[in-house]
Amino acid sequence: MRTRTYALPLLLAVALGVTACSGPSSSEKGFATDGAFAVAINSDPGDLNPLTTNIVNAQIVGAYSYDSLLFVDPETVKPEAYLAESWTESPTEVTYTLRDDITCADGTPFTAETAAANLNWILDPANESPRLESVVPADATITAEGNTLTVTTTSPRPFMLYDLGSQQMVCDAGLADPSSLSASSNGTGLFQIDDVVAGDSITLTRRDGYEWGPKDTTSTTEGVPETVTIKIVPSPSTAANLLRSGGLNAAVVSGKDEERLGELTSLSSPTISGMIIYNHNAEMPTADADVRRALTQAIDLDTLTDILTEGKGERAKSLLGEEPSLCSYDSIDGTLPTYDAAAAAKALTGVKGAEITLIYDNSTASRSAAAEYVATQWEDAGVKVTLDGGDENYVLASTFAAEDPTKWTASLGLILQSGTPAIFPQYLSGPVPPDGTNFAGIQNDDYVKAATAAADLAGEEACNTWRDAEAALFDAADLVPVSMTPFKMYFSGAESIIRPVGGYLPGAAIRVLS
Amino acid sequence: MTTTLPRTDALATVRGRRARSSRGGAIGAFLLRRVIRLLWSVVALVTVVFLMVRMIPGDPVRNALGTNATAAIVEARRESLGLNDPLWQQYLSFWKGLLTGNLGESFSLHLPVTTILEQRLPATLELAFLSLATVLVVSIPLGIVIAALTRGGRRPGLDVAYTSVSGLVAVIPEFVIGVALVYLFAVQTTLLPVAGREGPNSYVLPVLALSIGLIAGVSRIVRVEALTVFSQDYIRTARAKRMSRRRLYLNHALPNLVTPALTVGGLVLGSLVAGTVLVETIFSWPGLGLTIVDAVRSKDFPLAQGIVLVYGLIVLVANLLIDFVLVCLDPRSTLKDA
Amino acid sequence: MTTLPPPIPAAPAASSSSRHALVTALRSPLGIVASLLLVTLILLATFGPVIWGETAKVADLTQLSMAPSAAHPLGTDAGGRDVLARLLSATRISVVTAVLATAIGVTLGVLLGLLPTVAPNWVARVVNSILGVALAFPSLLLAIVVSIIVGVGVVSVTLAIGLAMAPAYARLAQTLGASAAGRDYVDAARVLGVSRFRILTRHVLPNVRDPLIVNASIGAGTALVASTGLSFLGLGVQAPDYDWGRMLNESLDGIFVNAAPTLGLSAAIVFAGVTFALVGETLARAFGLNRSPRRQRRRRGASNDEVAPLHVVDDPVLRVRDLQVRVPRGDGWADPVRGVSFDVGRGEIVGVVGESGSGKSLTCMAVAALLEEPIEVAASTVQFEGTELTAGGRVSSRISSAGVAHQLGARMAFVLQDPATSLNPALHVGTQVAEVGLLHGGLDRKSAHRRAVDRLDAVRIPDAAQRAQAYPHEFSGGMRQRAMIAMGLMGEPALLIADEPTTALDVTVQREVMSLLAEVNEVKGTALLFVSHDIALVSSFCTRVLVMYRGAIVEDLTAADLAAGRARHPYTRALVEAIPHLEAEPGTAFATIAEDAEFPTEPVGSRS
Repeated sequence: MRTRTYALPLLLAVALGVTACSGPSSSEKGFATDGAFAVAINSDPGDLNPLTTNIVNAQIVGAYSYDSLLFVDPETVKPEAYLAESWTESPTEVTYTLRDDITCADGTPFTAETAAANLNWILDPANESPRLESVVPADATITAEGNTLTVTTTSPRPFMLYDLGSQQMVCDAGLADPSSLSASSNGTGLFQIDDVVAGDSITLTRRDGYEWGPKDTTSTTEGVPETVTIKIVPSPSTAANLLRSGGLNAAVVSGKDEERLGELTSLSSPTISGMIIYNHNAEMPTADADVRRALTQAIDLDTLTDILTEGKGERAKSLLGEEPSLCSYDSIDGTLPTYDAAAAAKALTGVKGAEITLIYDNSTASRSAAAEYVATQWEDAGVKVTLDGGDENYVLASTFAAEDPTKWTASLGLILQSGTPAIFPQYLSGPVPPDGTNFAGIQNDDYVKAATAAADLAGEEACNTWRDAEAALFDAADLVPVSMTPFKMYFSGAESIIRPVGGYLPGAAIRVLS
Repeated sequence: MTTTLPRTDALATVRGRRARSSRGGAIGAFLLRRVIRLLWSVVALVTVVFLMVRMIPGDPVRNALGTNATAAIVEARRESLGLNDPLWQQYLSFWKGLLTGNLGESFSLHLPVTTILEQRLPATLELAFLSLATVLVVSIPLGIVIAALTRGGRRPGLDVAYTSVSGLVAVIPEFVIGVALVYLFAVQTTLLPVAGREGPNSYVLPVLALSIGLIAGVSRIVRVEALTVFSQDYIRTARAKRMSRRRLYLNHALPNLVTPALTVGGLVLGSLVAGTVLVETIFSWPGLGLTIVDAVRSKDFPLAQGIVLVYGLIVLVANLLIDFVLVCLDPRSTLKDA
Repeated sequence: MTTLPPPIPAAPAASSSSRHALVTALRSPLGIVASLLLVTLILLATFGPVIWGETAKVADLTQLSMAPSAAHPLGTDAGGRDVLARLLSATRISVVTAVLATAIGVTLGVLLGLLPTVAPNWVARVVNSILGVALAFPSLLLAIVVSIIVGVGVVSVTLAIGLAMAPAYARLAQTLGASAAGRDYVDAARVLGVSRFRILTRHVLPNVRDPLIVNASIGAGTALVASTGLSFLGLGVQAPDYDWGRMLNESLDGIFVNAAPTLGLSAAIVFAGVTFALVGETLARAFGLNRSPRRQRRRRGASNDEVAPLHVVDDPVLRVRDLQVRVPRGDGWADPVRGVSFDVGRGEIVGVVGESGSGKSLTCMAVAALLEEPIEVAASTVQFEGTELTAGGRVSSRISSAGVAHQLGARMAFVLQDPATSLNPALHVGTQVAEVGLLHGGLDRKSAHRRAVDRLDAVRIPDAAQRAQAYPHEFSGGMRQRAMIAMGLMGEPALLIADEPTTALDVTVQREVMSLLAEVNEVKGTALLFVSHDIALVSSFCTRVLVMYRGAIVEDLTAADLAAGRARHPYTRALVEAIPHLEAEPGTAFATIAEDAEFPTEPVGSRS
């Protein structure tokens, strides 16, 4: 059964999420000239237009043929020059000054105007882009003058620099005919799409004249491949087989199959892999904070982590993944109750026999086993649990997009994570659907207060305030991040000079070994 | 008193009137009737597909647009897709779309369904027909040879061995066979590619996985049919002509086995379609089977209904072709009484 | 999974001593194995969860996904639970799902399939077209669709598979119902005013029941495999319930790391499937639907009794001494022909007469070396035109020598009993006739064909050239017999064996065929060995008559003697007396031979 390598990060395009463990390996071997590189993704990305797609795999594909204004190095966690060579930032205005030698794969120049056109396209509601508001603020004004792109908003948007800076940029021809971008590319990237075979593979070839890659990668850098094949391999076992047989040079493999890949080099991109979200709707027993805390107490989160990550992961420390770009903190420490089954059962005597519907992701054996573990623990504590499992989309439809918010009580399938803490308030506070996106109906005043304050701050101060905000959530057990999985990308006959993040690898980072 | 296989419905409904005109005319009339029946079947198929997908719970539009889309956008999309129209209106526009080649856009892949079908159908068809050919080419001679060797109680050891082995193999699910094949040939020994569809080598394992179980099952049926044929009077007449065994089997028995074999072939097609869904998953074969499971589980209903339609059409048309070939081959068919 | 259509076994035989057949089937090795497996499966299904249910729940969270060990023979799963215990506990749900789904499928299928026989025509047509579409629809897709609509889980899987199986059983029931018992007597019942419903229950259903049971038990195996397929796709049983399908789905993820669970589960699925299949096979044998091939018993030595011929001919076309035919029956053998000796002279027309079961047809087939295993033919000699056909006291159907094959093929002709089935329906008549020339006449295709047309013309088939291109079903019965004669006339036949050639024809056509045979005898000098139960016909047509009774020749006399009433054996006399004649007094009963009448089996004395 295929495995989703991770579930529903809300905002992935920002290259964030870093681990403190070993950095990317440097190789003593030689590089191949004009080699071939094959990498796997786990499902067909569908429409490849970077302005309209929200699908992670499409963004992974886009990383080979499109660039963005900024590049964030996962090691230093600082933005670096990419299409923009300098920038300024304030809570309501950001500017990017672009290089003046950027050309598209089709030879046309890429200017600040083109960049502005990209953002304005997303801004236009007629285009129905899901990146409206999530990437481009709805109240933004976007202009370009000379080499400089300016974006101004009326309300403060911290982290706007990064959100906009991470948007993959399309060239003029693509903007003029967006439908052409579904199955081909028109960008400034190091590679351009040659052929798309639906359900099977996407083939790209290197272009000439590329000068602006991260870490000074150009068309002529040693080890840069001539062709890139992105294969669609849904099964992690198959991906592992292909890595071993040489059919693939890189793939994210997580789970038991990792044991067969011991001798290959790998880079980790840790992501939250398990999260319990409670439904705060007034009709649910979990509307009561004491109930939520008791339920959380009934589970040994370390054991749950073991099951979810097949023994290969660790406990999550915040909503941000292990070490996010601008903030890295532990907001869980000291908040969640420690495991005590007896105490939990006692605390739940008031709601004994309450019916809990647990929505979970059943795409792998581990996830199902994890859900069954939670159910067993809760039943031992005295409540009645109904398991309701499905794939990613089912989980989404049953929780986030549920038409009837009383149909679920808790979820072990939906994962909210991001690199920017500022993205969370709209999901963890405020109006419930259809007026807003606070699908779980969380009402935590402490969180709202801290979050509002943090929006006006910057730097270290902002991060500390965000940490406190999250801690407020965990004190009330509003939602519980559980586990982090390394999601290692394994390499065979190739390497990457930049760590992949959740499978996302800038195309320019690949080097093929000889 | 020859074949004991169920005659396809086509033949059974041909009324037994002696063709006044030439046989060609009779076949033409038969074909016309059969095509009309096909059209009715297509209407039924389309209606069932339309209804089935409308009955699926959950909101597929929200799934398609993702978590970040605002409620307004979701509603606008529902409007534009006509999902708020009354059912009969949706049905009519469904037909309209069908006839103009517009099956809507896939929710999860954001590509026109027809594009996706075009791109992925060939892979599945290749697999299905290669497997069909393999099954027929192997199991028909196998069944006949085993029948010839074991008729009249000869070689009971072979009889028992064949019956047990084929019975066993026929029961093993083909995805288990597929995984076993991968393990043996592609992981332990790296002889053949593990997955994907590039180069002739990559066809070997998927086709084998699909065919092995069916070969076991079909050869059993062929054997039973062959035994029946061998016990017929006309075979006795042929033996009275004192010809070689080979001539007896090839010239006299085999022609009477073509019809049942083809009939079985038609029925095998349905099984193959199911098999491709499972086998494509294991071998990452870029066909419709892989896509249908995803589409159904992610409630991508335009894509799901498109694929189901295509599968249904393939099977209906293939059955029509087989009926047509049967009628041409079987000299008695146009006059056969219902 | 092979979701093939359920095979229809050969036409169901009348279930005579069904209980006896069931017991016999059960006692056969197949039956024993099937019963053992079935009992094991039932025990596991019933007691599995009881015995292993608790163990299956124990989650050792320090032992997630471990490889096999002493404590866990198949290892543990992702939740730290013992795989073997779960496997055994899951037997019940896997088996019950399969059985229930089959029950639904068969019941629904039979109802739908037999509905057209009782319902008005328009209903039948609607049902048929729905069935047509449903049959065309791949069953897995149908099952997926149902699961989506009804939701996933045990109930939906059962329903889905049941619904997906129904069309195939409907079609099976339809076909069986249509062919069973022949539609003639159903029509007769209808004419007599029997209600449609009664026809269904009293005439059609009983004949449908047995094959259906057989197919249903095989179908249960298919249903089991189908449900694992659905679970593989995630549409089957859902957590926290588990069946083999769901377990297999999960174990396949880790097969390359730990293959034990997958192997164990595959073995379990195969075990259950095989059990159902074997049960079905045993039931088929019990109901007489699948004649099991007889094992060869130890051959008894050829009987040493010599039987002297009652009439010897010099330079005969055919010389037969001590012919014996043994047929396996039950646990032993039967002797339908027990020591037959006779000669056929050149140009003679020898009739062989007797009641059914007297062994006359077998005798003819035996001397022609056309009887195959498991029938055994022994004789001290069978000579055709001087060529010895026996080898080691036996007549084998395999002709080893090409010369003998040519001789038999060109010089021995046949006209056999059932014209409807004697010619190959898939080949042109001309081709079949011409073949003799190709094989034994040394002719090439064109010349053989020309000769075939010529022979067809010679047997007075009009438009011979055109007719040669026709198929046997386009010929009438009489024409087919004439074509058979033409086939024999491709060579220069010394002997023509005619086994009840006119029994299936009406009287006028009979006369024409007989006259043709007479002509062949006169013009070509071909000897005829003419078998019939009609002693009147034989006595008028033949020159000599052999009377057979219970496998032996009891009298050998000339037709003249027979006609003149000089038959000596009581049986012959009884036969003669039983011939209806016009001079009888109106109102008197014709003489018949009583069914239990016994006649002496010793032949009357020979004549030289």
